[in-house]
Amino acid sequence: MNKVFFIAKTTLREMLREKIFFVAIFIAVILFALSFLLGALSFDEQRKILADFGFLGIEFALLGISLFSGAYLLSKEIEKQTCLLILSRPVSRDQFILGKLFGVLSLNMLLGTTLGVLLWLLLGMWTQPGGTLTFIEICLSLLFESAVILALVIWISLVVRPVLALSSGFVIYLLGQWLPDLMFFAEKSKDALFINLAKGLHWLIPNLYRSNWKSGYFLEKGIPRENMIWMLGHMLGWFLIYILLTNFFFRRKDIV
Amino acid sequence: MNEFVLKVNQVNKTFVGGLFEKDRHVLKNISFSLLTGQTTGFVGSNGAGKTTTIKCLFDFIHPDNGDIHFFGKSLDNQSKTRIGYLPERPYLYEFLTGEEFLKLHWNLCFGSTTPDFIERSQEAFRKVDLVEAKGRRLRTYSKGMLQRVGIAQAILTRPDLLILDEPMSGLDPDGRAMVKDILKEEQKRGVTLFFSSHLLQDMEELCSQLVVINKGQIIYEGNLPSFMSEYQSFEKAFQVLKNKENSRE
Repeated sequence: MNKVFFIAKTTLREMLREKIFFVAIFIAVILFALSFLLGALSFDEQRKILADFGFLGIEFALLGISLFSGAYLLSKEIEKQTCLLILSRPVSRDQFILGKLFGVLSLNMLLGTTLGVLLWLLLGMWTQPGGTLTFIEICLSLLFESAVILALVIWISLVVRPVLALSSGFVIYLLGQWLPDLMFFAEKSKDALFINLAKGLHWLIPNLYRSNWKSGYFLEKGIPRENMIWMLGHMLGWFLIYILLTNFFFRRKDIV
Repeated sequence: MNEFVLKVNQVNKTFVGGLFEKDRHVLKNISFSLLTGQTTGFVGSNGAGKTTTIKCLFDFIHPDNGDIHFFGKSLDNQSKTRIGYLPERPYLYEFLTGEEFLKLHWNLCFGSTTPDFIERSQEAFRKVDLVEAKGRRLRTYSKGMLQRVGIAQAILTRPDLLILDEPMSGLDPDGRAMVKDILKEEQKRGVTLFFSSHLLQDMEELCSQLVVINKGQIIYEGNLPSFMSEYQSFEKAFQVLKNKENSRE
């Protein structure tokens, strides 16, 4: 486990020194600022708009890190052959993958916490003690979603080129968000092929809509406990599936 | 008594081609062995299969069949701690400083920064003449310095076996002399050395044993003096062996 920690620490150090972290913060802060401008258009919805755009900013920042880092995380190591020296040490390929993955996840946690605290302050959440727990739950759901996308993109990047892995990851993210809508339209259409296709996608793609609570509405009303547990189980399950697939593919890969 | 440090037996590797590409049989029944304390040169032209063979030793490339044994057993974590390795093009983590880079390798080897790390890292930096540059990021190092810091990580843990893939390629005369001195120092320590090169001069100067590879096949394995007495000149011997093997095909 120590070796995973050292690789994760090095990966986190790389991301911080390569300034990826600060680019993501910059993008999220722009979205926060935009929400202020939009909020100014409305008298009573200002806080709601700030919450909606703020959570969206956090989601975009985390998603951006997961997509870009995930797509190049292993391919860069393989292409530049930097992984050879690491793997010549008493480190298994599984430990290497886990180290890299946890490195990016820790960056996402750092980013999520930084932006979360900033949004918490902007929303004045200290005046609403009950809402803080919901606020943390929403941030956690965004972190879980980004972890699933990260593991997915790393796996795809072992099979196809990084750019394709990045775009596939983004498409799957969109599909994952639209799965319930797709199912709804399929049932409405009563087309057997469409229904089967939508059902098939349910088995192939994580239902990311389960973690979609990034709005002022949920911040006010709270998230039902059982939905939270379902989300945790669902995301954890897909995360583990993608990690296992990544390890399986990487173990068999020739580092030419 | 001399013991086998590395034994490679009948290793084959074929890269499966794509839709419009043929399969490439790049290693054909590769067999050779290294004895304790010997320095063995691994010679071959560019594309002969030197790097692929070395990558097979560490399982970076999975051989189709054959056996590879380090210290009498398959490669495992314990034997990995006894091996130092430098790849052909040492692309390193350039965002790290020289010292952080060695610390990472030490930690990966021993699981933590044990007290003797400081002494060992200073010794390694002194040997490669990078004491003053150790606090700088690797990004700022020249090519020669990167090669030297790569060697420093290879000798850091005082390994019993050093495997170096083209350790002198792309270096200026000063850099080459320095690498040779480091290798000679390691030889005195009793390290088993295995290094590849297509530069025959290096071999003559450092090696006692020789393994020659051509088009994925071992065409000579034996000691250097008998090789030289048989063929007089190194270059000539290499050409004769290559031509003999090519005409057989």
